[in-house]
Amino acid sequence: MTNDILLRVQGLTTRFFTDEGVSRAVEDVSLDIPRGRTAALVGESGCGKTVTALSVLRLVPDPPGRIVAGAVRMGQGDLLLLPEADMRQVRGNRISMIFQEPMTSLNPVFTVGDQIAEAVSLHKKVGRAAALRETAAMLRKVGIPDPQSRLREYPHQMSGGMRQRVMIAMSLVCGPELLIADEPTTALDVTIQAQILDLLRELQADIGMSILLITHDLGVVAEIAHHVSVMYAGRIVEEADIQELFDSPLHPYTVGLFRSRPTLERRGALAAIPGTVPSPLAIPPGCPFHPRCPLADGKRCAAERPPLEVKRPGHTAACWYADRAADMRTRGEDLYK
Amino acid sequence: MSSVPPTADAALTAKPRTYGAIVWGQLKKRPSAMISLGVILALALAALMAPFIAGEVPVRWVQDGKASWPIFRYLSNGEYAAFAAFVLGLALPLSVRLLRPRAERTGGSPWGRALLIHGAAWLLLAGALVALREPERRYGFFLERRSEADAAWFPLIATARQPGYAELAERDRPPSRRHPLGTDRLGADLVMRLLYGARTAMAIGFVAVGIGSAIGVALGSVSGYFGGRIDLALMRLVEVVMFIPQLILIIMILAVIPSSVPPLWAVVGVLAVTNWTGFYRLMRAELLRIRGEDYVTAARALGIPSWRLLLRHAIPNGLAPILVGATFGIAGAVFLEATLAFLSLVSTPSWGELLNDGRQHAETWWVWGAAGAAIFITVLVYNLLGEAIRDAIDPRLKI
Repeated sequence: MTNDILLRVQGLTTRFFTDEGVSRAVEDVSLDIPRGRTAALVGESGCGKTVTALSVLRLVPDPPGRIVAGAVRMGQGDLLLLPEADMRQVRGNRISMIFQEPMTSLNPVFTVGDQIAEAVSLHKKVGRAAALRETAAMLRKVGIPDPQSRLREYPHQMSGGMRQRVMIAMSLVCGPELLIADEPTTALDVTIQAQILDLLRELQADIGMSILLITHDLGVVAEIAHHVSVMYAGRIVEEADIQELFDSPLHPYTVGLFRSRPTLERRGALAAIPGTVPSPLAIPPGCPFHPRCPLADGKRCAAERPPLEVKRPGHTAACWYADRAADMRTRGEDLYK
Repeated sequence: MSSVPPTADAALTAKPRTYGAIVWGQLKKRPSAMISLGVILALALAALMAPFIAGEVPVRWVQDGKASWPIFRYLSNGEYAAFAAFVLGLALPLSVRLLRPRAERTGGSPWGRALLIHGAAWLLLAGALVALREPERRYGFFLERRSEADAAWFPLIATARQPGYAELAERDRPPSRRHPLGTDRLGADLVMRLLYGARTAMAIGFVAVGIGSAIGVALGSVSGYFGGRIDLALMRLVEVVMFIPQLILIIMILAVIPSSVPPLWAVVGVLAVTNWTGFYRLMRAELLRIRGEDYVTAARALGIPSWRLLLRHAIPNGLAPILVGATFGIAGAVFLEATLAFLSLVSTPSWGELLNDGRQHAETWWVWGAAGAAIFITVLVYNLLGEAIRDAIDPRLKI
């Protein structure tokens, strides 16, 4: 079983030491990313998804951020203990990342060919002409027509969808084992979103890489993820395979997330989870979700933090009353009414 | 292999336009910028060609049936170097354009090869000048023996470069056909003095600002990008330099510079070491912004090392404000040089010196008038050009 795990994040804790206080962006996060599969990390804005990804690559801006505990195991070693020079060999080569904003993630003063070729010649130690040949091949692979002339274009000459394809080409050109996709489709319109997701799925089948997909969009998760972790206030609150999670969410927060999706049947205002996400500077004691939770009992929930426990085979959740949520679901009652 | 249909935006991307081409397009729309650029180029050309416009060494001299070309023996090595700089500078964009098709076939950048060729041309020229030339330095020779020549092509304004007793009769003359801008107290032609003053102004402007901006960009980018203790230390250094009033700092430095240093280079050096703080602060601020840009994080996520990231990705994105600062900086340097010469702190042929000469004799209005106009126009055109560049690179004003 462990042979199928490509990357194992254990107890990762990242904090930002700011003038206003310590921001607990990521607390004790553990994640397993299986080989050749897609793991999704889901949650609202500001819950620590992106910081988790940046921590894996050790790109958290320091100061003010620091990884204070945990391990990121890939193969034998712990990425967090690698010297910086070795870590550079991992970035872009074994693990690469694509970002949310294709409009700003490409350097405006270089042609896209130059930018991609730079990564190739850096990691594969090949000359410029060879690097550009590989770049053109990769651009063709991500569905960019006429790559030879596109190579010489600047990012501002391309549309958002094109740029995201270029970003994907750039991150995949060295054949990484893991691709971290941080909200890869959020800035794109819906038709382009579908194209990009199809592309990621095809490339995964082709190259055999794992994907860590970071998103708040449950539609995207349903589309390509195999395994889902739900994050809230810097912690993972529920984990399961995609089918299991969509069929029977156990954590009231996950239930609320699913409930707030727009559906074709329901009309009127979208359903929302009451309250707001707590600031990472002041995370509530006990269960971090208790001030917003319809199941909170006001005593235990406010005092003791529920551990992330296996509630069913292959399904973990961090809630004292996970069974109640499941029961209500089987009776067809709405948790939030 | 992809089943995804290509996005149809080929029309948007018909012809690649570089950032430089966009800025140039914006600049071309402004008459003031184009006129300023024209004036600057004309001034640079006039300063370069000064010996051909006003002087005493003939271009061609025919005596006893033998023709010679004396001016080419009299031009100094520095003047030849300046000609080469001008010609090669204008030829650079042309050679880049010529090399582009070849570079695109091999996937390289045309700039690298062009710079290599130009560098080689420079080295050859410098070697040839040092090895082969010993310029002549006997002045007051051709004008006196003018009658002995069968034919002579003198510069447009034939006048002694070092005024001697012969010219004293011509002193304090108002503008005339022979001296279009008049003469000064020693009978030197004002056009000639303006031209040699323009040389000083141009050299000071370009070289002092070039050195100053290079120092500022190097230190400022390191400071802004890496932050921490380096930044703290450099910032304190800048504060100390800025704390001393610039003119007083310059006077202090001029006082300790040994007299063996040529005065022109003393001024250039002094302006360079006092002028970099502005560029430093501009570049530092730019790098603080760029450091947080997504494309820098994306480049780091690709495993690009810090120094390479700084040199190739961060600095090129922060150079636009430096270009504006440099243009304004040249205006400031020209003005400061004129101030120093006006105060007789340096002894270079300068508009400031001319202004001071004229100040003592208000009735010779053509002397201080010409000097004042030259300073005013030069500072004005550089400021207009700087303003136009600033507007052209402002992304909010585009389209």
